[in-house]
Amino acid sequence: MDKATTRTGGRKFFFRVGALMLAALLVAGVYYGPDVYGLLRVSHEIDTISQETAQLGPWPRATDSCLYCHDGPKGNAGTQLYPRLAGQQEAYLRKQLKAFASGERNDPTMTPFALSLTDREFESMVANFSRMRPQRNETFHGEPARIARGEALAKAGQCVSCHGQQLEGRDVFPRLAGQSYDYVVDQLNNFKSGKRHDASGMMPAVVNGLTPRDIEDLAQFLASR
Amino acid sequence: MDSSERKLDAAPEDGVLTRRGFLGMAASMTAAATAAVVPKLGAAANAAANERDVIEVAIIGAGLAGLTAGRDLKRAGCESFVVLEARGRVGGRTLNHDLGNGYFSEAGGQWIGPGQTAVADLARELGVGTFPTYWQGKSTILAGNARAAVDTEGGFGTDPKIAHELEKLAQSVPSGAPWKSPRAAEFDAMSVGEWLAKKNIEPADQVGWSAGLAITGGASPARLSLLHWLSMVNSAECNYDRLEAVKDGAQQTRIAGGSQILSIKMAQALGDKVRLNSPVLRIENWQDGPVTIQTAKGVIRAHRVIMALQPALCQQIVYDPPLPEGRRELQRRWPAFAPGRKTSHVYKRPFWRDKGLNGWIFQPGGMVLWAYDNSPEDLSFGVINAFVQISMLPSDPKVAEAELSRIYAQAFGEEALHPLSYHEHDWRKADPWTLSCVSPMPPGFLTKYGEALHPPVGRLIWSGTETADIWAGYMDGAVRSGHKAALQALQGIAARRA
Repeated sequence: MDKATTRTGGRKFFFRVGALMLAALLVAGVYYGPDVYGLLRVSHEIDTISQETAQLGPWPRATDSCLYCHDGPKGNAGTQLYPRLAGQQEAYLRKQLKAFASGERNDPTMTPFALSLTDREFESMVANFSRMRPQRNETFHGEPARIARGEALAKAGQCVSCHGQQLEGRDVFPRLAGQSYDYVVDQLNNFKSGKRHDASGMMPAVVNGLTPRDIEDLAQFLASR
Repeated sequence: MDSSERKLDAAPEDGVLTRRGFLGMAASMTAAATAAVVPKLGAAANAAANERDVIEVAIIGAGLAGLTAGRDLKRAGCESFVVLEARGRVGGRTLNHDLGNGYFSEAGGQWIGPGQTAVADLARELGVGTFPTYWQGKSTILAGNARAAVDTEGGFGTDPKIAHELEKLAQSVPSGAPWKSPRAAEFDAMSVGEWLAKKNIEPADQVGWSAGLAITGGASPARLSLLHWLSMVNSAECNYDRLEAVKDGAQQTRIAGGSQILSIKMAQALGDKVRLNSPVLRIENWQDGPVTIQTAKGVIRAHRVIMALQPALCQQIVYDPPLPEGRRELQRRWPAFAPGRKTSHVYKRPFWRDKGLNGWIFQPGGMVLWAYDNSPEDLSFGVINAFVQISMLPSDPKVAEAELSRIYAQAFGEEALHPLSYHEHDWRKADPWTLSCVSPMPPGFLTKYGEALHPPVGRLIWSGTETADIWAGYMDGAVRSGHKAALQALQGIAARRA
């Protein structure tokens, strides 16, 4: 980035350091060197951040609202409690948002959220997360023995037949690789209790025979992929 | 409990089945032996005989609104009421972290500002002190590896020209009923973001607006109705700084003993009228009363009910018969999707103050939305509270503490690496009884569904901060809504006795 752009960034920056004030700061730089230097560097960084986020679409973006709980701006989620959506298939995202809206997958947060979306917003959510590059679940640290046990359970349950060879998701079947640990445990329990419906009956059939420990081990394996 | 709830859900229109299911449930409950609790429901013929078991008012929700309502009823001489609370504590969206030695840091709502006279008066009446929020000194901005310290003079550096335009527009938007604005349709058809985009906000400034609206409004600019935002500016007497800033704004004043102390003191004065761990599952016969309220701890019958909880929580209760369509849709669609996660780092001293820093951190693109100094008034400890990006901060509290400590060290120096203790609260995950911090109204909602927010439905009086005429969404609004609901209930009592 050239110097002129950096200056513009500084002038129009977050705290609206006005042109006059910036000039004053530059003069005062003799005494306050580090502060001015820091301010220019921060301005530069904020310019970079705003350019990066502009790639997600023109501001204001409806999808920014999702990022407080899901994924973060670059798909760099740290949470295990809220699901990671980066890299999910369009068909899956569409199906789930519709199920939230209809109440088929009733959730006090997501149902009113899905109901509030315009068609355009709805599709922007689907597009945004299907295009976001999925990342490894770096903040999950499983136990090797339990992960291995989970892997065997996944094989026995034939997860890959629907969810893809790398558990990367396929069509309406979600990506499971690197999913948030606690979220997976919750969902498997919900399928087991019937709280989450699956008209095909596939997920209840898979989880019905699983003990709570099985479910945890399976989630450890999936989160660590 | 889940399965019986579903059973009842399955046939809400079938009175016989419902009643049978209800009886079965009531019989299996361990009802507390008080006059207000009916161990089992008799047939309609017994209703008259049971009239003395019917209390005047049941209040649902022991947050600031419900407890204020209860306090007012008592002060008016009415003793025939209970306050039902789902949680094992009072205070709703206010919650104190206990730091030990009588010191607290807040996990939820915590500030009072100019014009918030209802909550300020309540604090005075309860003998609870207040003190100024600390803002003096430089705020720290972290972006990538860069750091800068800037004096933001107790505010968030909003462009005064744009703020002034919003102030002018807000004059025509009544805070308590924005849908009544003559320009309601126009303002509700667009988001704050769409309006701002027309002002050619520079890309770097968009980052600031997004963070500011997330902290105050609970959503990104594209998802907040301009009408709703203007109604909030109107609450602040059309003074943008009064809404947004700390200095001279809605975040100006703190409560000695932590904000939850207000609810704790009110609940103490109400004694056994407050029933904890009593989530309401079902409300029957709400049209003409007496209303039957089924809780996890027994059945209450009351002539009228103050619903001191936000609309999305009202939606978690089953109504028999179902509520009228307008109210039903309002509740079903209510935007309870602004969960908050707030953290507290406790240090020996507020060492950042010695360095000319005010303890504030902004981290565009990072996990800290806004960190601020939340030290007790006498500076026995130094406390940094933060609103954090839920998705980015690891959910394991130990890991989260360490990650935040590193960010604070970048901002304030190495001393920040070693807090004495760490507290956090993720409101969406801690329990099912909050759902959302504020309600980020999306475009189109208020003009379509807003009319159903205030009018009582049968014997149900709607309360909670969302229903306040001024400062809706704030602690002050909660107190105001409690006063209003108590007046409505007392009017009902007077009419019945006349």
